[in-house]
Amino acid sequence: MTDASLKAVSTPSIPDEPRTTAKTELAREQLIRYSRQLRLPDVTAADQQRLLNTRVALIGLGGLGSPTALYLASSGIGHLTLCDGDNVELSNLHRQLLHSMADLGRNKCDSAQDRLRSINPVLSITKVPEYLAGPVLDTTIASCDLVVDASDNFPTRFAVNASCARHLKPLLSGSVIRMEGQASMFRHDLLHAPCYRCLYSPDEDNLFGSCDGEGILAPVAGIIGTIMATETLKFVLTGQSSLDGQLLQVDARQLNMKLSLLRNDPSCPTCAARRTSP
Amino acid sequence: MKAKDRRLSELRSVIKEITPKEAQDLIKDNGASLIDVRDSDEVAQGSPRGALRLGRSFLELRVEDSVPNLEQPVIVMCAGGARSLFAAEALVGMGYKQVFSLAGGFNRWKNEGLGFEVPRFLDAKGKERYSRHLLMKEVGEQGQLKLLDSKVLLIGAGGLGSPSAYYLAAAGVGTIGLVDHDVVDRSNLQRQIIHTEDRIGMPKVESAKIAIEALNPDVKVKTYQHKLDVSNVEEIFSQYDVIVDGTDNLTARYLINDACVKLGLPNVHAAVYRFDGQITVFWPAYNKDKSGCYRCMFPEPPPPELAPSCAEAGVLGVMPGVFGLLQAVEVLKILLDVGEPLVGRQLTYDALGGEFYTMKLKPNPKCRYCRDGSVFPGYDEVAEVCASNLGGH
Repeated sequence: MTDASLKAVSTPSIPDEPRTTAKTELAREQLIRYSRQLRLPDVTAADQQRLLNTRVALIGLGGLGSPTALYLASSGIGHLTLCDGDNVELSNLHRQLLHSMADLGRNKCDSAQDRLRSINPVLSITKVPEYLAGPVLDTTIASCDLVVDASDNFPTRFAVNASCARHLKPLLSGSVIRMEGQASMFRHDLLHAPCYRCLYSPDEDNLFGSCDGEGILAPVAGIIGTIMATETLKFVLTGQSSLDGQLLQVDARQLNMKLSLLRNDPSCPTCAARRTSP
Repeated sequence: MKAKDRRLSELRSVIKEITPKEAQDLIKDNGASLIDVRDSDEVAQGSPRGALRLGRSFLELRVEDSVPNLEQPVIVMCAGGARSLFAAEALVGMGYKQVFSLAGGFNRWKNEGLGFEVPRFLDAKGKERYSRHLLMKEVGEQGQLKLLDSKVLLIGAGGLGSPSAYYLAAAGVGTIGLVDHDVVDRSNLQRQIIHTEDRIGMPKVESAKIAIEALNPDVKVKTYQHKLDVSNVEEIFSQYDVIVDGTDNLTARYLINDACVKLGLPNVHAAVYRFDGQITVFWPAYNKDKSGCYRCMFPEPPPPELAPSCAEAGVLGVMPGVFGLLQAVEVLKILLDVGEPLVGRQLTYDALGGEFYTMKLKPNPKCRYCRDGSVFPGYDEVAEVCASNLGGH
């Protein structure tokens, strides 16, 4: 190839920057920051811009929320809505890496914001330092592109699922106990996708209680959290996740990974409400 | 006669009391379990070696986890031989067939010169920090103390080493060694979550040490800001229980493998490329299963003309995160001896397809390094071969 032919295909106004097109101009700082990602054959500067334009609501900044938030922030998801009413306690630090000793007693949203900005200073962060319910829950869900449920109790999970159904927002949901974890993507933005309520009923007493009070092997929460971050990035980049309507179960004892197809429950009240929502 | 004395004499008529010497024989010859039902502050002053320190208050709820077989003889011990009678009756009520009470309790055990130890406990802060581990039967207090006594060396404080080291420190692995000669660069921050914007330019091992110490002051961090080579590898590795390979070049991978084989150490190995990654544990010295080493798969490094390109490959930021955490889980399983570590198995994750596969890795019977009866052939001087597309950084 000659110099002349090179000139013919390049865009003269933006010299020598990898994968930059005239349509999308990432700042030089960002080209460096995301350079290893931009070298992927499937990630262009426009894709990176799409990540930067995305708003993810993260519900719970504990064992699952910590790794998810750290990797979403480092990968350049530009807008994060952080929701947690808890303050940092010493017993959190064995797995919740958003927080450190100096944060003990602070609200987790404040602690998380400082930590995430220390990795990626230009992040836009909205804090909701409370237990999500009522109108605040709905405003939070309505304003984002994707919801990650990393909460530790069933009432919150059902409320978040119902709100995602009202606002047609995709919901990535994960949980961890002892050496096991699971994750699923509930596509409330699609008409016939199964939802969290199709899987679990609030009256079942075989739900394994609140995760609060159960043992957790520290990095098992990290595995599920990083898988949730992976699926979030894939969803933004490709419009779908491998966990759409699927349940991933991880057992760290043997390191078994099992994927099973979820079915929607025709009598699910949450799905019924979703079908009639405006 | 006081009510308690009447009750104790009733219990003595149904529960057999034995002397410390008889108890010792029963433990040795019949596999009896000795259950110490004293409070933790009493146990802290000393307790027979091997005793199950279950305490009195949760005895009935927890005893089956330790003694599942109701036919097994159990000897109950307190300080003076009274409380143990009540506890022994409770065990009879649960269906244990052979229950004995130690006459004179631990005081007599000690006075007769039988062996005991002063067990270690977590202090109040440790109990709070690791409370979620203490709730797990796979960890518990003794398991947590074991982690605090453990030493893990991570080669590479980059994409894989960042999450691995961070979580191992959070989990309370007491000594963490970090080998990396590099400094923090802005392009690292897309995935190396232990480093921060204001530590750009700082050696990675220093940056990681700052993060770990801010999280968990129980952890001692040892930093090695240089490259591993034949002259230093054994001296460094021999101070650790588990080696975590988070490197991105073949020279280091062969050196790590060879030293681990020679020293009998488990090598928790992972590699990430674009949207894929894989993890396995190379540990020919593992006593539960036969398995091979890295050279069983790749006996020699490729010649330079076949070596992969030197350019840094693209990687989705979170991929080394997933694999660094899988490495951390494997390390904890090895240290705690729980579950089945990935010895002789390799897990592959294709993130785009969302698929996980496990395949068996068989040891190569002709492997120069780990075949049965082989004498260590020495370290190869593996030249710098570029292989960043196998790498974790």
